[in-house]
Amino acid sequence: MKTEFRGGSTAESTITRNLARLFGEELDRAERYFPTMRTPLEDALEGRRPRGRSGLRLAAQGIAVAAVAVIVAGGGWLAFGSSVALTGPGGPVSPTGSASLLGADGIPNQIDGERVYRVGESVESQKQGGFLLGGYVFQEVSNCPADAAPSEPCFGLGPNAGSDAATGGIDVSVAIEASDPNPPALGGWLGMPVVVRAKGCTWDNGTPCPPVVMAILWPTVPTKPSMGADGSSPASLVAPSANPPVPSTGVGPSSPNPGASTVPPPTPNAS
Amino acid sequence: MKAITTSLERDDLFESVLPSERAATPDEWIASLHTHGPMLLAAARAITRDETEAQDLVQTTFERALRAAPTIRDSLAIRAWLLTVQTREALRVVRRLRRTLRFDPAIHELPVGGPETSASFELDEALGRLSRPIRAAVVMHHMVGLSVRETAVALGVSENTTKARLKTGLARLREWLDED
Repeated sequence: MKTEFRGGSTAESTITRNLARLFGEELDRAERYFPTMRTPLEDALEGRRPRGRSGLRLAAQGIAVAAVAVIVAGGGWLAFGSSVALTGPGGPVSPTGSASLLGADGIPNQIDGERVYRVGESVESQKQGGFLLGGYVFQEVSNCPADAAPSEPCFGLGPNAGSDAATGGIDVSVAIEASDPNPPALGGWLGMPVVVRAKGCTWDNGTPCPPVVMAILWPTVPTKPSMGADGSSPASLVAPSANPPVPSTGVGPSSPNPGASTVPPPTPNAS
Repeated sequence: MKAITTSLERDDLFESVLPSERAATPDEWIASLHTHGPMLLAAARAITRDETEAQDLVQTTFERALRAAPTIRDSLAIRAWLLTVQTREALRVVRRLRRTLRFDPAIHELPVGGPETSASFELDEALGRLSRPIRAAVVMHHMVGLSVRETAVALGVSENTTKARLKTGLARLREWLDED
C-alpha cells in the first residue's frame, strides 16, 4: 500500500485502513469465487475459441497465439488469430509450383529447397519474401474479421484434414493489392492441403496478427470443385501474375522431416 | 476523456510498460494473467458494485490481455496495466450507457454484499454512495494500493485530478460515516 498521499487527518487514516481491510475481505471472496469463473483464459489454454460475441472474437486472436505462434527472429510474435480471405473472379490457373517430397500429413516438406513450415511450428528466421506455410484449408464461420465483407468467406489453415479453428487451425489473411485483379483465393482448396507463401504480420502496437498469404504455391490447382465467395459460384484460384513459376523440388539432405516419404503430390484434375 | 479513449483504442498503453529480454511463452502469459484474476475481480466489484458488470469487466480485461500477447513481462507492470484497462473500461461503460439511459443509483449501485463486520458494512455502503469516478480513485489507491501516479494513469486523468478525487472521496466517506 502506497503512502504518498493519504489526506492527512486521523479520521481519514482510519478510513484508509478500513478501506484496505475492506478490500482484503473482497479479495478473499474473489479468491474463492474466481476459480469457478469461466474466463477467456481457459479457452486460450484449451485452444478453444469463444464464439457468439464480437468481443470474444477479439480474444480468439489471443487464443490462437496460445495455440500456434510463429516466432520470428528479432523477437516478434506472429499470431495466427483472425482471418481475412477473399476469392476473386474465376479463371484457369497455370501450374505455379511443385514438390516431390511429402510429409506424413500429405504436404510437401520443401519446395524448391525451401522448407515448408507447418501450422504451429516456429519460423526460425524472418526471411525476405516471407516463408512457406503448409496446412489444410478450412472455412471460418463465426470469426471473420470485422473488416471482411459479409459475403466473403474467411479461411484458415489446419494441421490436418478436417481440422478447424477449434482443433488447432489458424486463421490467415490474404494479401490484397489494389493493382492485383486476382488475389490468391483459398476457396478452391477447401479441405485440401496447400502450401502458401506467407508473411508475418503485426499490428501497429506490435501485437501479432494473422499471417498474410501472398500466394498459393502448391498444389497448383484444386483437386475438387472450388467454391465462390458467396458459397455458390466457382472462385478463382491463383493469379498467374501473383504466383511465378516455381521449379520442381528435390529432396534435400537436410530435410526437416526425416520420416517423410517421397509420395508424389496430388495430381491436379484441371488441365 | 476523448484522448484517453483514443489512447486506449490504439493500445499504446503497451509502449509505456517495461520491456524485457525475453518474451513469455503463451502459456506463461496466460498463467501470469490468471494469477491476477482475483485481484481484478475484487477491484471490479468494488468499483461497479454489481456482480454481473464486475465479471464482464474481468472478461473484457482478459480478452484485451490475450490480444496483447506476451508483450508485458514485469509482474507489477502487468498488474497495473490490467487494472488500467479494467478501470478505464468501467468508466467508459458508464459514460456510454449514460448517453442512452439514466441510472437509478439505488438499482445500479447495489452493494455486492459480504462485508463481515458492521464497520465494514457501513464503510462499504458509504463507498457505494460515491460517484463512480471518485470511487474508482479511492478503490485503486486506498484499496488496491496503486500509487497516485498509477491511479491517475488508470483513471486517465492528471495526478492533480486524482488527488482531488481522493480528497473528495475521503471527505465524503468521513462525513457519511460520522453521520452514522
